[in-house]
Amino acid sequence: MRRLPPEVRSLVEKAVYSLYTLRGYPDRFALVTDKGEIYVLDADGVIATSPRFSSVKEAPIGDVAGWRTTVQTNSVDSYLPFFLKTI
Amino acid sequence: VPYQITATNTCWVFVSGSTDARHFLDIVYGVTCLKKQGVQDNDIFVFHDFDAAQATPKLNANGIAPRLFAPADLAVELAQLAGYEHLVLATSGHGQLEGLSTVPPISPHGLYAAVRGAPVSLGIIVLGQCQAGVFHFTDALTAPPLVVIGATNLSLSLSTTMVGFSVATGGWSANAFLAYFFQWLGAPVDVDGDGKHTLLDAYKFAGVRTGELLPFAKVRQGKDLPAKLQQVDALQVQHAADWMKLLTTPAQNLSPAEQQTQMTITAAIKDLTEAASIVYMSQEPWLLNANLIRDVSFW
Repeated sequence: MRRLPPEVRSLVEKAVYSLYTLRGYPDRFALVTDKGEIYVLDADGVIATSPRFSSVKEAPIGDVAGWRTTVQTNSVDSYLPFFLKTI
Repeated sequence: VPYQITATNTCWVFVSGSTDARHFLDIVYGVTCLKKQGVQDNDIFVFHDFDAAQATPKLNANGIAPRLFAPADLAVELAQLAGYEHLVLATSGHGQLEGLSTVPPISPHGLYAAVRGAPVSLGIIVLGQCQAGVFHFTDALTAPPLVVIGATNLSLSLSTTMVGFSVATGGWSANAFLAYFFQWLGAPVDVDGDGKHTLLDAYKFAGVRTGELLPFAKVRQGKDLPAKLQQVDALQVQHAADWMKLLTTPAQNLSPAEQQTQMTITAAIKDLTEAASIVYMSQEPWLLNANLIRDVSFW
């Protein structure tokens, strides 16, 4: 997720946006916004050309995904979700 | 004590009008605090607008399984409850002038009628959403009596990332008042020194802690606000020709490259909006039926 835009990263860390694994697509992740839009990302955090889904309901949403941050701040807990994807 | 809330004699209800993950995590955190006190999943009812496919992994990750419903079913479901002495209802999500921003919206009258429709001797309502004050000054004395707590009056309600607050899926932008309220329920503190853990203690604890947090949240967000505004301005200049198209076209109708730009722009605007709403907000909690609130004890 090194190329995930910092604004998106910030919103995922606040759970305003959510990041999930996609069942059947081991190298893809679903980013879901607060408005219910879905973006399919690759492991670098860039929009993937495939697969494409017309809505969240159509996507095979898997587990909650996240990452471990090494940044300590006054506001965000140091542990953030990501099952094992260290960035 | 006239009203003793235990792990088994009370029905716990959450209502949230929001598709934001953070508001669902407010509920997840609340449920985990209740379960620390021995409350069972079957005694916890969640009425929410969050996407079902996304709710499941968040519940699974936290090992909880409350009963899930749509907000439209609130009155019907509460009327069918049986075996409870008390009902505690907490709201997260968005608020608006007309009440809760559920689908469809729930008015103050509608919410109170639904709670009073439950066969219980006392209804406790904790309103965490913005503009909670539109629920103020209702008739709380008619049986069954109500105790109502509002996290904020006619203004916004603070949500922010909070040190020491996390669920199994990590931190989140938590509704501060609700987070502290449920933290108190998970580990009560005798605030006023009367030897009891009462709802009044919970109200004071959540209100004071939220008030302490607010200036720090403002300072933190205020520091970042100019940079966030500059970023949105820069993106608007860079993508001026396609700005409206990128803001209004559903993602699935855009090319991958356009999606990449749309994702960045909408996130930058949302990030700016979130920060600005904290910097320019104020918050003061309130309660209704103060005489009764002293007589409600926990655990």
